[in-house]
Amino acid sequence: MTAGDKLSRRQLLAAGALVVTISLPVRAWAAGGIAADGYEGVPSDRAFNAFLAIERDGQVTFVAPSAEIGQGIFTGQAQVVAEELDCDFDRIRIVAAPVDPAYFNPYFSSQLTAGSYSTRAFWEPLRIIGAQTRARLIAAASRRWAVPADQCETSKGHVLHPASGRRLPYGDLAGLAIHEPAPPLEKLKFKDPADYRIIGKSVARLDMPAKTTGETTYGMDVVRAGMKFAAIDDSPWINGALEAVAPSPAFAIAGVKDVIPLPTSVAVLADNSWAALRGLSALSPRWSHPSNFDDAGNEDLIERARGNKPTFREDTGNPSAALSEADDVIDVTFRLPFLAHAPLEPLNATIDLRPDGCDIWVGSQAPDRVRDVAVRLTRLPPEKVRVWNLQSGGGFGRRAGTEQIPAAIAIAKRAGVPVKLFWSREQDMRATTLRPYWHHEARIGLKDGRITALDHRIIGGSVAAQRTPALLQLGPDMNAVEGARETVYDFGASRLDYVRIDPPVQLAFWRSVGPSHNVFVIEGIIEEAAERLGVDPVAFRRGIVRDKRARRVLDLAADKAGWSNPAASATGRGIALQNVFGGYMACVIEVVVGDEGSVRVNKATVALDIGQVVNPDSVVAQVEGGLIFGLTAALWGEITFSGGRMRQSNFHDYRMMRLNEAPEIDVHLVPSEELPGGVGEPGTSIAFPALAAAINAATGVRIRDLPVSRHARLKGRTGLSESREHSPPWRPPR
Amino acid sequence: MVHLKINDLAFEFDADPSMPLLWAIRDLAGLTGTKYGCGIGQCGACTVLLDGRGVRSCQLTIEQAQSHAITTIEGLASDPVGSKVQAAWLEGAVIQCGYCQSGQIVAATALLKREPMPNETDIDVAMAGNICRCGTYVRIRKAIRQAARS
Repeated sequence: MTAGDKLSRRQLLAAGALVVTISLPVRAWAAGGIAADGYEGVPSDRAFNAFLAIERDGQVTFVAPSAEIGQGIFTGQAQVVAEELDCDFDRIRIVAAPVDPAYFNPYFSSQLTAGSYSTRAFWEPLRIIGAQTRARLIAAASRRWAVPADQCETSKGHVLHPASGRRLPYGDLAGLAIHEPAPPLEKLKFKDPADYRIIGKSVARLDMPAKTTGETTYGMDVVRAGMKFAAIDDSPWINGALEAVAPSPAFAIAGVKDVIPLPTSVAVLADNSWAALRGLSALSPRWSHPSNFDDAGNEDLIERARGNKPTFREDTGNPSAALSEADDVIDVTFRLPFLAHAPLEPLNATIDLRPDGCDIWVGSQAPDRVRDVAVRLTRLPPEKVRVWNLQSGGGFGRRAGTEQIPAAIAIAKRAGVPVKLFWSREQDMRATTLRPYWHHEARIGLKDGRITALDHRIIGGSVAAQRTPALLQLGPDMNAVEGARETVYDFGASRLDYVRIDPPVQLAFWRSVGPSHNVFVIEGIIEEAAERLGVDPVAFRRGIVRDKRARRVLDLAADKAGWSNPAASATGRGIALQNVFGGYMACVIEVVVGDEGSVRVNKATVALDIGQVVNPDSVVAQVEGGLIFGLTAALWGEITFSGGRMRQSNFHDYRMMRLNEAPEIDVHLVPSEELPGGVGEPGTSIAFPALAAAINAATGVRIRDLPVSRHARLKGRTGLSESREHSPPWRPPR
Repeated sequence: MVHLKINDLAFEFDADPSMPLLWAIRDLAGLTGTKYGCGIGQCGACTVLLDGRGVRSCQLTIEQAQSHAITTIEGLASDPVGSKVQAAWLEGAVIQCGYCQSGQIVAATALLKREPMPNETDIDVAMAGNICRCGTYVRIRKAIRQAARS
């Protein structure tokens, strides 16, 4: 919910968190099936609320409201709740939440894990939950000992009465404590941050051991008794429909059980994955071919929209006057391609559909949307549709959608047995949803050595218009303008326009959303201006940043990267700065550009201030991973179209950065007690401009169009080959 | 009938001999730690040991895999090198989503079996075939160095 940004913390508490804590205590536990199938052993009479249960032996079960998609949120949220509960962190186990409003992210009013909001949104609710539960345990102990509650303390999973030396473990008290009322918010005592022993510590992620042994069950790994496997091909043509398919060639494959024609796809059901894939490839479906959309058609859409009345306009001061008074004006255009998410685990869903109910096993960033789609398609009552949200093999925005669910339900209806629908990599690419293609035009007015005017026009497709039109009633299209609308800089007078176009492809939020294009452009504008004015990029930024936190990360990154020392020959260093997702980040990237045009990213030095840190090592990991994700896209990422179909189909033509290409990454955290910011995405958005600036420093070539691999002109000026070539093919070691 | 030896257990499958080993391991043997990522030998998520060498199980048929000793991620704990790599992975807090990591850990095990003290180029060459979409490469490199030292 973009409007969530506008809510004060107080409003947020009133609107979301308090409702979560007080009015929905154990309902989810009882109704959502946590105590049942799959999470055996936690009876609801040991549950304090929707988030915490404490068993007799002291084990604390924490129901994590956000989806674990690799970002470490299970452990991070457990740390927050455990700190105020004051339990023994080693006695925590984490289970995924069922679909229930109790677990809705208050920023979104839905169970969406996205926007780097999970720590930010649940920071207060989970501390309240922990403190309330602790207070109830104290109340139970004080009743049992007949001493005043304020003479009791807690320590690592025990209530103590120091005056008499008595102590009881939480496990002994929980059965009594669940009958104690939760104290009102104003009576709750929270820890002094100086006393934190779990928050702010790099505790080991609780999901990691099972991930080193292969024991973690992802959606792809679900097995149900009697289950069949389904593979599926969508139409290769954009918005193509299935016209006809002869099923017999598939039935010639041993193990094939059914061929299921669907409106825009065809699926094959079989005894195992391989039979399903073979059956599918034996088919020759006939598809309609309604669109010849291609790259030129995309450019046409933009060209025709360039002068359109904007969907959104925001003026600060009088930009046209300021531009006409400028000493110098730079006109510049930036273009950023469509991008796919390509999580390593392709989309999938396992459905057990019965006349009286439906269970769905899936890794999802939006399990409530999965449930809602299933309710609509099965016509079952919502309480009869249970979603078992599993850990995901990558999210990046891809799993906020429900694209695999309708076909999975249709197949399950026909099969009469549990069905696992899994997408092949080719299907995952073909049916991908896309980060929109973005076209930016900027006029930068310079006067007296600074930027005095900026006229910035953004043209591109709207994810919200396709997926969440209701959001557009609440404010501007954030995927279009976030990262450009509020920046760390003083631009004098400015105009920001967004002109919406409607390309005929499915769009989606993609890791770092609005900032994935806007930070590249804003930082590009800064670089253009600094170059025209002949000022060092760090010094130029330092002169126009508006707040201390931004200046501090800028200085820290520059210092740690040795900005003031000259770069080695053929090496270029570039810097970028941003304030997005509630945190400040600066990044210096160092590249070497070879004569053959190869760009080698040597090193990234990052400084960030994201307020109170929950798990420093997880933060560093997110910065590392976010940077690699951004660098991958900046160097090679593009989805292109020809004759109404997508050109890319697998990792051989949608190139990923690999270990031998990955830079050294040096991350510096600024200590802070500000409210926590988000960290899953900032590393991605900052990678684009920092890389472009570094390439410019090495070669003198400005990267305004992405990906970098398009820039044939880098070649020969120690530039980059046009190569779409890929990493050396893997060979088995000799 | 196809006979496979996986993690020292003998399996007998009445299956299409051209089935890639990956799908037999996952669907027939029920060992789901080995992952499907691309099906064309590009991503390495399906890496298993074949007589101690790393191979792409999506690129090998079960017919070809017969009479070889196959080790999957589930079998690494009882392998001295494999368990060392798993311990280094935990110590280095390598993992994010984890989906590629079975393949990464098996590939690193194969490297260390072949070259107990790999240099940086050895690591580059051995691990370039394994995609990690979460971008844990910096930590994978460190964990391999750590496992080699231990």
